[in-house]
Amino acid sequence: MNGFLYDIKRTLSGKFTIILIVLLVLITVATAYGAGISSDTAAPAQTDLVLPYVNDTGGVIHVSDYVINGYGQPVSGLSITSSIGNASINTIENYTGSSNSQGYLNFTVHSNASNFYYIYTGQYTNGNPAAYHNNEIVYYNGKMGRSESYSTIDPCYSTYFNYSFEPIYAVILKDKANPSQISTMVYVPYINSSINNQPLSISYNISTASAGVNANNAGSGNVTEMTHPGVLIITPSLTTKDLDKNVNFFINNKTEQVVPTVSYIYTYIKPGVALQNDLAIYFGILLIPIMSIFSAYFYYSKDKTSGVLESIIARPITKGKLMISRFTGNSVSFLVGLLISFGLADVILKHYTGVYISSGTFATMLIGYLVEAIGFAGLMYLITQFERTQGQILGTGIGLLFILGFMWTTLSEALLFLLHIQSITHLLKNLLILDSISPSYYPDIIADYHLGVYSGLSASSVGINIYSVVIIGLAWVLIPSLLALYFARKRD
Amino acid sequence: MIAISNLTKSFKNFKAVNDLNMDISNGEILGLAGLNGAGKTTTIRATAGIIFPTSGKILVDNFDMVENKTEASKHIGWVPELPNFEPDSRPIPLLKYYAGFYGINSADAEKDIVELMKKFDIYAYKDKKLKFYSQGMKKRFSLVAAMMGNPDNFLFDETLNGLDPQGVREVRDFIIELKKQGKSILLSSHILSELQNVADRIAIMKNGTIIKILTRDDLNHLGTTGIKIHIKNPDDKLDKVLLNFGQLEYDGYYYMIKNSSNVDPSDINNELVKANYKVDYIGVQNETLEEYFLNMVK
Ligand SMILES: Nc1ncnc2c1ncn2[C@@H]1O[C@H](COP(=O)(O)OP(=O)(O)O)[C@@H](O)[C@H]1O
Ligand SMILES: [Mg+2]
Repeated sequence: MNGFLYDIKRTLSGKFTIILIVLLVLITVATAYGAGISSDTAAPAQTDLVLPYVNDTGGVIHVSDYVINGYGQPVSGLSITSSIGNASINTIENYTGSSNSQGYLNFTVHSNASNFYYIYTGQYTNGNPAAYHNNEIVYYNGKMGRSESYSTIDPCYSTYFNYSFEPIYAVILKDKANPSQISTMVYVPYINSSINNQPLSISYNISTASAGVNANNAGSGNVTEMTHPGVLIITPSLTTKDLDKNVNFFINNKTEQVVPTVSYIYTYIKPGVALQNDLAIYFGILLIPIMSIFSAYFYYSKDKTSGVLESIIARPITKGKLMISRFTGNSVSFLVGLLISFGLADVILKHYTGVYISSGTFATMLIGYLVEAIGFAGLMYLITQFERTQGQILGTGIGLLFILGFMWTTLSEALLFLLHIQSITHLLKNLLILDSISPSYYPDIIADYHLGVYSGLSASSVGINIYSVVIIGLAWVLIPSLLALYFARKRD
Repeated sequence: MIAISNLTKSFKNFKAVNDLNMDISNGEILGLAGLNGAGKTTTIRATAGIIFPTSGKILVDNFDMVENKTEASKHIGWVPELPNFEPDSRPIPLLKYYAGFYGINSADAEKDIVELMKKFDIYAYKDKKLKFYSQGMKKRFSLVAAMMGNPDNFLFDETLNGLDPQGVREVRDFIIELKKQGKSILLSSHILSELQNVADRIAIMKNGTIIKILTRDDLNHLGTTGIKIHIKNPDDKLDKVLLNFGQLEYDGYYYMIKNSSNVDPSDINNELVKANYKVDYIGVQNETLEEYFLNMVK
């Protein structure tokens, strides 16, 4: 085996490599665990929902409760305790029954009351109460109503009334396999055949939270077939770019658009992105620089300044090759450490959320932090060519950590303040330029490129595109290390 | 074979080695003598490829140490003045690692390493980390390390220095054994007499250049021998007695009779005893080589 490979092999099997990898793995795994347990999961809160409908056909009150779970599937066997009372709050009849295999509990009560209320409480088979949104329905002069203000609870549903005061339920559903996918189910109770005959349609659009709701540019979405009488489900296609935006649904029956519009803010963050966000807090500005600076110190700088490297330079290898082999070993140990770390993080997130890290997020995290680690290491290899003592080198390394690491944003902002740069777009563009001057921010830049968003602006509008991302990355990998190599070959 | 021509090495503006020329043939031991700071170590480090020459050429078995370092390094072993090895390593794995640079596989290397460590009496410490080695053990370890790859040329920087007398003899014998195998050897010392019985030639170095090269023959005829005497009861007439045997020098304690190659010290002793002097010490003195050296390099 030639000396070059021999040295890489020794570097990789050294004690420091093991310490480096173990530290990276432990910290990443802990972060992934945190992201995993706090992420939205594919499973909705364990809740069954009762969607009631009452109708008076003159002497007979018809009650129809439809029970679904958070995925929109009918739930059978839910025990519902109901009570019908008259306007003087005297009980007309109590009724207890369970939803059938179709999810319905239907019953009739004979009463001449034209104004009455209906109270219901769902009980699980284990005896615990099921969630209810507002368990009182008022029937007044032939119209159904409820006094609630519509609010969103999870899984949420809202009741709307069309102009005929016939209820329309809009329920936000989760997807069984994919927590990032959210659907909206529209349910129109069908006891009254005139409503049942009304064809329904739903459309949606996505707007920034402040832009308001405008039905004109609504997309059609993928409206499923009616799986159940009166039930329509629409699944808008939402991506990470739609984070914090409004998703607006427009429900139409035969003649009119139902008012108000169903609308909610899309807050789902993929677990991989959540991990990336969590890591961004301290990985890029602190942990990776520290590990990178110390790894460069232990793999190379320490031996060079102590003179130990001379006992190897006396062997058939050149100073340049020896530096490359140490640098390569250094970089490969980071690659291995990050691969193992993110691989395990992936398994952990899958375990807790049911979702793997997307390959794009995985790649951007891996490349981002690897480039950062290599960039910092390269700077250390470079300064090692000029400094004579271990103290000087470590001192400069810690200076790098301060300046390019956790002080960089403050320094950048101070600089821009001093330069009187005020327009926000200009400010962001300049911050971006300054961010690319520190390897600490490369992971953020590549993540912004991947998400397409930079501080709320579109990434491409501030100049983050494939070319700038590749060029900055290559620059951090190549420039410090090649300069270090140049001087390692030239200087004693 | 080592050929150094016009070697200059500057540190900033200071020339530690200045236009130095030196050849060492196969089977030759060249002594490099000079006071501290003369530039011996700098010359050796440049020859070992540790530092870059400012100018000049260094050939090891005709491989250029700058242009073709990897090949040149295969042919040269270096025993540094101050051995400095990875302190947390144990000797055998470290030596195996070194052997890897010469393409020697681990099993073959281990056989040689064990043999060499036994030869240099450090095998008993094979499980100790190098940071726990004494200075003498480190020096022995660096001899083993220099033998990795079995090169044909060796650089020994002050290697005899700081060893106990038995160590000096062992290393001297080892160097002579290498010479018999036809290897070229450069051995530096700041004490000329240390080189006297080993080196075929001695290059005397001062201010970064070689000011004189002495052959073994020159060494044997350098200076003059003298007879050194100490008398317990000297008096005015003593000078007169001693002057009969040759030129006289007095350093305040010893008398030294020079140009006395054909005088037998016992004759002088007899004369002195006859004249009632109490002779405390009388002996042939040969330190003139060192004097010669010091006079030249001062
Ligand atoms: N790395 C260095 N930087 C500056 N000066 C040096 C360096 N190495 C050696 N010198 C100087 O070069 C001169 C020769 O040193 P050296 O070769 O070690 O002498 P010797 O081995 O003969 O005692 C000394 O004056 C020493 O101070
Ligand atoms: Mg020296």
